[in-house]
Amino acid sequence: MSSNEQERVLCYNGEVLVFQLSKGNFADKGPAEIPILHVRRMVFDRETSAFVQKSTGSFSIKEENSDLKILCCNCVSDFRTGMNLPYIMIQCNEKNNVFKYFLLFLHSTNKFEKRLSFRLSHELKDGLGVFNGPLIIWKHVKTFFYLSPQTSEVITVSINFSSIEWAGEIENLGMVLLGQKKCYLSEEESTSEPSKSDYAVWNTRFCVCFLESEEVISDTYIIPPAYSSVITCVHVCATEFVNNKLRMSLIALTRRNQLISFQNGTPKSVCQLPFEDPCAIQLMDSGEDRLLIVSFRSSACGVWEKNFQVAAKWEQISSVLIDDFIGTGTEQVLLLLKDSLNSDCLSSFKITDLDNINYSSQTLDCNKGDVFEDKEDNRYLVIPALERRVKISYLFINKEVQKHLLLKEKVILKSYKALMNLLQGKECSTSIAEEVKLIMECLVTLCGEEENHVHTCDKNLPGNSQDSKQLVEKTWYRVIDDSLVVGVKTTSSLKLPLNQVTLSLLMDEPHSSSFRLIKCQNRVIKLSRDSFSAPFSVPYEKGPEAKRIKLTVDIQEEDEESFVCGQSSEKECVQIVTAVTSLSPLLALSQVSCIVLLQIRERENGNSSEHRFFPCGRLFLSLEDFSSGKYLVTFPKKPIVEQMEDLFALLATLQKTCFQITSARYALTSMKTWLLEHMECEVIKKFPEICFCKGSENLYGTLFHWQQRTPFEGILIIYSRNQSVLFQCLRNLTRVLPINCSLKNLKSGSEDFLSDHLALTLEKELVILGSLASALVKVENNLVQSCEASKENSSGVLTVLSDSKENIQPYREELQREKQTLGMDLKVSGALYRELTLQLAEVQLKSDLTAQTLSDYMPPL
Amino acid sequence: MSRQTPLGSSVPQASCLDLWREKNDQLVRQAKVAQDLGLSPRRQQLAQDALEGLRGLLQSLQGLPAAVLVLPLELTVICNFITLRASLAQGFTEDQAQDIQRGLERVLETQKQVGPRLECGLRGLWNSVLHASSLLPELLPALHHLAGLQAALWLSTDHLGDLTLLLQTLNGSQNGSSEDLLLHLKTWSPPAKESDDPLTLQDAQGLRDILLTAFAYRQGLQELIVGNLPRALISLHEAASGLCPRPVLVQVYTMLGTCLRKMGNPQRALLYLIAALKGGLICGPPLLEASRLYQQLGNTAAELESLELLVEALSVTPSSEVPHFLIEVELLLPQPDPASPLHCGTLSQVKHLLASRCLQTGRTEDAVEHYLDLLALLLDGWEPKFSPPPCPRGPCMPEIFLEAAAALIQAGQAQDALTICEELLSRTSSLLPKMPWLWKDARKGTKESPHCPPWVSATYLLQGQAWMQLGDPKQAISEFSRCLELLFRYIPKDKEQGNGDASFHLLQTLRRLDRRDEATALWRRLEAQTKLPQENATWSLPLYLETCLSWIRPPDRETLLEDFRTS
Repeated sequence: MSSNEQERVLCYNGEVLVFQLSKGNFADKGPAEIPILHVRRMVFDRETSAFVQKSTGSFSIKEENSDLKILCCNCVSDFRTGMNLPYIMIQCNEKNNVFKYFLLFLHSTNKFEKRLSFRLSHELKDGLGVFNGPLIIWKHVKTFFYLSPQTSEVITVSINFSSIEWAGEIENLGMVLLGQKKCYLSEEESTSEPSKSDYAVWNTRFCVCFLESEEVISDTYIIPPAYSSVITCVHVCATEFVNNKLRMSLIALTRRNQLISFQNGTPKSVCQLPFEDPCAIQLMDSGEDRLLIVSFRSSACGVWEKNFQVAAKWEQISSVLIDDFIGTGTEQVLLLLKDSLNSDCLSSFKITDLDNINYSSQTLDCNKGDVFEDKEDNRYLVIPALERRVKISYLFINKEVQKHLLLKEKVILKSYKALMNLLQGKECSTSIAEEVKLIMECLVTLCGEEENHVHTCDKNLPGNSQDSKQLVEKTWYRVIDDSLVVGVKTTSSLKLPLNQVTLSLLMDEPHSSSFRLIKCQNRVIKLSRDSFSAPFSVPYEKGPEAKRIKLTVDIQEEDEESFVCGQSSEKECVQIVTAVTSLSPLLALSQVSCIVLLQIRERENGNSSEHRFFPCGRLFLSLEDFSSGKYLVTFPKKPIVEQMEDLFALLATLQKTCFQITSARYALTSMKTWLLEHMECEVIKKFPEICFCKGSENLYGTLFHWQQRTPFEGILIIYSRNQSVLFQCLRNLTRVLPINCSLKNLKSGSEDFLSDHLALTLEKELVILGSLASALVKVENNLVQSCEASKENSSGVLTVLSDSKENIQPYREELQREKQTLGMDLKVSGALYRELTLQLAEVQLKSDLTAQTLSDYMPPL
Repeated sequence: MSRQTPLGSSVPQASCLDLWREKNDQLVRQAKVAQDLGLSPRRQQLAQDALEGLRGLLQSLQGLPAAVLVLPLELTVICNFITLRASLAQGFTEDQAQDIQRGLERVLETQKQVGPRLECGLRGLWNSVLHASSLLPELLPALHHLAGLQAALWLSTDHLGDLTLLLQTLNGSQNGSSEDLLLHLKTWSPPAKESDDPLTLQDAQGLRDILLTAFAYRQGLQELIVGNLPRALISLHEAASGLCPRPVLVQVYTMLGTCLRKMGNPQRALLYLIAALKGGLICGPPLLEASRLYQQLGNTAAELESLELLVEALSVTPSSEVPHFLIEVELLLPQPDPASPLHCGTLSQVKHLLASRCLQTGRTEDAVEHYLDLLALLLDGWEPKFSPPPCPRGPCMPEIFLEAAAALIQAGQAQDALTICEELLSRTSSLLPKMPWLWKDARKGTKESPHCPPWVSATYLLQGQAWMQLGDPKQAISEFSRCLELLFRYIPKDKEQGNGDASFHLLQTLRRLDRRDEATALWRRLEAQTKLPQENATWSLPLYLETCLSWIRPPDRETLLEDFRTS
């Protein structure tokens, strides 16, 4: 008997409708039974947790000898009343390939109404859909047809839809169809490059059109064409027609087992479904959060609408119904179990709203909870605890870092000391002070009034005095753009503090014996010829010096220069002093004769400084030379500037910007590689420190000078034509620099300058303290001596001092102590004391400021 | 039934591709913002959100048929996803391999080549993809990026063969016979990123630099352990000159120090160690290495000072750095291994090393102080409790007790030594079977430490010594005899060296007390024993016995024995 029965279930108003079709038994020769469609209304009884029958109804189908089949059943609205009614559609297979179809509405009185009845010469198979109206749409041989009570006859859809996903009413517009339309691209379009906005040439796209007029309303902002091949099912959530634009929000299922929501043609959320081949979506309004129930062939799952996360999944399911079965005002999902041995399909089921409503005829395989929700719950429980822990750890870490820093400093100091005790140093290399003294001794001092000594200088000039010979190796000049660059190459034995050297050009006045000073800009350039300077990966292994350090216990002092700095040896350095002046005033004169004069300022005492002048020869410039371009340096077109003078002329005229690059995390040992590869530079062979940029038009000719000081810090000097080139360089550079790198523009002058300055102010401080002491009632004490002693040391100490301001402190303290030991009962005039204290405070302020600026240069520990 | 879903008022006009690309860029930016937040709960939350966002984006992209036009973006999203995930988890898992595999399958999907090749695993897949990509040049930059991640994954899991083949294919070298991975990495130049490419957390170039450093590091370490020093030196130099994070640079410099020390260049080694110390927060390994170096140079003062600093350094818990959302060198380095030259042990291990070195070098006062500190540290519950089975590395508790006692005696603090010995005996008594004949069975059963009886006998020996120092020869004799009793019973075959020592003391003391008969009997027994073949002649004595031994100078010993022989 059961084989002759077809059964379908449907829910309506909280009831479950079970349709059963008992068809005529053809096999038996007996009198044919009249096929009857039965319906049972079942309601859920919460007391017994079971479905009980409420009422029944039946309908006799008076079609003899026909093969009857339930095609589909669901709820659609009846256009006459606008009410949602359950319908059932039945197919009768008549002879000669003629098919008859009924669409029956079931009314609340359990009466069936034959709403539609029609005959077709083909079977309804593909693309069958029953929509509100009722409207039946189907496909037969690539063409769509539809029928409704209003049309009274089958109508052919002339738009060539390849599929119709949805039909429904849009407010103010009427019935519309949503489907995929084939579009034939014109020759032009199809051969053109695939446009970016529509990244592949899809030959179908989604469109919405009117049912009656078949006028296309919109074919954009529905579902992107890219999805045309994967979408299997569409559920329209909302539609709106505003300002002649159609807006839609819909949910779709895809062949790739995804649930996707689209809003105005934009994919919003995606959920990867847990089973294969999803076939239907239903919405479930279970109170707070809405669920999307997706059914599969024999399974189902629920997805939260808010976050598109799978909330529950069920397997071995025959039907999934959504309604308010238990009458709470919100919806639940009713899952009917498959392969139930019991003939009654409602004998094994489960009702749940994925919250607190759970009824079940038996234990059902449900993975809800243990897989998804527990996890989530636990997570929420853990969060506050974790937060507390993080806070505590943060405080702890903070404290630890402080401790760590202190310790590290200690470790380094100690190891440094330990090392110092072990290493045998060479004799101190001649310090700057000694060097300068040496020069002073062997050179003729040119003192007195400026004009006078210039004359003297002139007298000495022709012979190119011995003194300057020892100092100056070569004098040259070049013309770049509008500038005249005069350079003096000094011997490497002369260590020039950058701010104490000037190169002047003195022009002969044609008709007098005096000279005119030409305004110049000076620059001191030091370059190393040492090829060793490159990688820092080999720390301090710079030539023979490193090897000379011996490891023995009883060494007191270590040679600072060779060990700490690890700089390339001075002998391989080229040092040039340049003077740049504007060319045009000189061009006014047909012939220019200049004396090149090197001036070195030396500090004698704290206050006065002594100038020393060294003539470096005479320049003869003629208009002819200029016009013939004899000394002209064109902006280098060839990548390599090998001519030393040309390079120096460039270095003198280009805008020089100095950056301190510090990297917190990654070593900067590959800087050279970055310059060469990323910045497209080339090393200048004679001066490997300098990189020449061969990059794009704008950056071409920019020069880079990289000095690595520690693995994590270095100075990059950029010689650029102008600010915008500099900006581009920096922009390119920041792309290749490792993370947590900081660049600092060293505006306040070079470090050397600052350390000199610091030394000077410290010295002043000492002198004032000294005078304070000597003002104390003629008490001869060792304070002044110690001041002087410190003064003498100061230049030697300089290099050490440049390290940090901490070093200043001991001196101050010592003086303070001295002051105290002198006794407080000594008398001094109040006014003098006030004056001195004020002076002292001012100087101390200055030195503190300098020390602070200087400490910015220190590599971070 | 259907609730109205509000439709956005603004109408997005962009295509999916633009939209997804924008999403990718936004997520990458979000991760970068999170990265700069420092240690804060918000950082983790932002990063996690970005990860979920990338996962969702990937789902969207992979929910569509693979298209060549979209694949560069899709592969980039995979790369970003893997990068963020691996960096958040601080390591690679099987998931990442699967993500890569899916990406490669998607590439093949466009070529309709999915299917039989899957059997060859990732390696085969890469071959097919890189072969196919010659037809799809637009995919190359993204594929190189993905290959960089694959390389990182293979490097971290030690699949060097696969890695070499991948790089060979990437470099287009035909069946290159060269197995030099470093060279392959160096020649690999991934296409540079265009400015309009989708944003990445880390680009292929960056990955290559990381790989280069990590591989050079691993190779250097390996060569160093194996003892192939010149090659180790080359690799380590390579590692140091690449893109090297601070902590790694410290390690590399330390290894360079080890390497150069072993090569006989202590000066250069020292320079590297100083550089390592200046380099970063971790100063353990370079300090330990410095102590080894100074030990080798015979500079005990500096050696001990290094160790003291090391103890101090280890007593501070290192603050861990906030990891970046990048594949970093550290992620690709081998797990810390006690056998590695970079391993500097625990605080107590170092403390013990320091104490024992002090004892060995005759700085008894310091040794005593360090031993007492160490015992306090160990008994404070800071370290795992008293453990009878001998540890494979380093001494165990009883030995530390014994060394401490020896140091105390050496320093003339016999009374304290006795206290230590008693403490030890009270702790070991539970381990010693009450009845001596049970020992054998117990030893067969190997239930207890075979070292236990020697420890106890050594304790008696030291106690005897301590009594001697306190001027109580009677007590001393009784301790020595207990020692000997235990030893003779226990070691008919095991010829423990310590017994010779103890017998010797007994002999000396008996003679001093003028108990000639007993002394002679003992001497005979000793003589008989010394005639047994000395198999363990080269076996080095434990420090506590070594110290004991030094209390009697060899000439005394010989003359004493000679006396007996002649008498």
